[in-house]
Amino acid sequence: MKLRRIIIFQLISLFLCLPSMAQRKAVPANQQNMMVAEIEKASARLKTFECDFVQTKQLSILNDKLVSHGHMYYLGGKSLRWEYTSPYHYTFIVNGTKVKMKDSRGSQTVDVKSSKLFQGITRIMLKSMTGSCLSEREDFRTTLYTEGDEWVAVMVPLKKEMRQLFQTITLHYSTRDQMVRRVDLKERTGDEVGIELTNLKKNVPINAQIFQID
Amino acid sequence: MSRLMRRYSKLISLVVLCLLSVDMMAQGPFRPDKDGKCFFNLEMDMRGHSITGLTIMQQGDGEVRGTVVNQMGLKAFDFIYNDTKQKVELQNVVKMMNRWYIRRVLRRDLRFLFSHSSNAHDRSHTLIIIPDSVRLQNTRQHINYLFTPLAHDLAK
Repeated sequence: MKLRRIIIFQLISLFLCLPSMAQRKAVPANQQNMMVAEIEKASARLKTFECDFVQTKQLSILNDKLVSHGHMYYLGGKSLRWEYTSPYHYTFIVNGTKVKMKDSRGSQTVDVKSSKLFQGITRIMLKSMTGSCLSEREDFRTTLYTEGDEWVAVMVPLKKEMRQLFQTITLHYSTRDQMVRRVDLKERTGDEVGIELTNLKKNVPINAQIFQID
Repeated sequence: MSRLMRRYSKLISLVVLCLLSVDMMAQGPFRPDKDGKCFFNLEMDMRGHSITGLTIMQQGDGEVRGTVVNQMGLKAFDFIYNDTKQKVELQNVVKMMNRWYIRRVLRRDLRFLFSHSSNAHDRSHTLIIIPDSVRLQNTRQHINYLFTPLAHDLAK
């Protein structure tokens, strides 16, 4: 009886999952090139960008998740401020080749040139926010899909430093404005991090001071 | 007869003392309530290099399960501390840290941390428990761990 219930439950779960699985459709190469061109065009138009984000980290060993909230600011292809406001305070600022990490105890500044890993992470952070990373063919093998009103780019890292951290980086773009709405990071250690971007404001004035690194 | 009684009473006292100390160990300062979770800011200093992150732990049946992640959500490693065996098992260690000598140091340090309920030291460790934080020093490897509780309920 119990076994039957389990089988019925699993069958129902499978049928519920099927529509969402079926929605993701691979697109032919020529259409992929067109999609990349559209995303890059939108990215080129983007001078500044700010949004809220919700980051959900899956904690498989605890069978739980950790949800953090924050705000993100982007300026002209070289500056990014990624600020966690709840439930902890932590700020990650990229400005050119410098990175500043700040928490309640103090701050630390790193020159990204000193570490290939830092270089890779900061580059992907800057470029994935605008979507311009899709043309980085040396860094990622990218496959594009359509899924409802989204374009989905699944990127497999090719460089050693990034491969040590991530299995895949998946970017979800809105088809309306070719802007990233969600980033999914599948870690090499098995867990996943999902980052949802909301309240997007494009090309609004942003004070450059907030990216300042002493 | 009285000599035998005295010997037995000593033995019983020893057994009681051992049981008490095992019980005290199981209630270390670093423990969440049963099935509850606790969250710590972690600051690690290694020979002049400093890294920060979060430690999240959960008390289960006879074990503590936990994970160490950076603030941006990327995992460093998971761990399970077995209360009975007083043994630490590391899982899903990020590739950069996945070296036998790093794993050995981490296992030993975490074991020392979880198996003491008050200030303690041995040849290579010093554990200092202060009201708002726990400091563990690996004096041999020159590694300092500072755990400060996060007041927030991160799970919400």
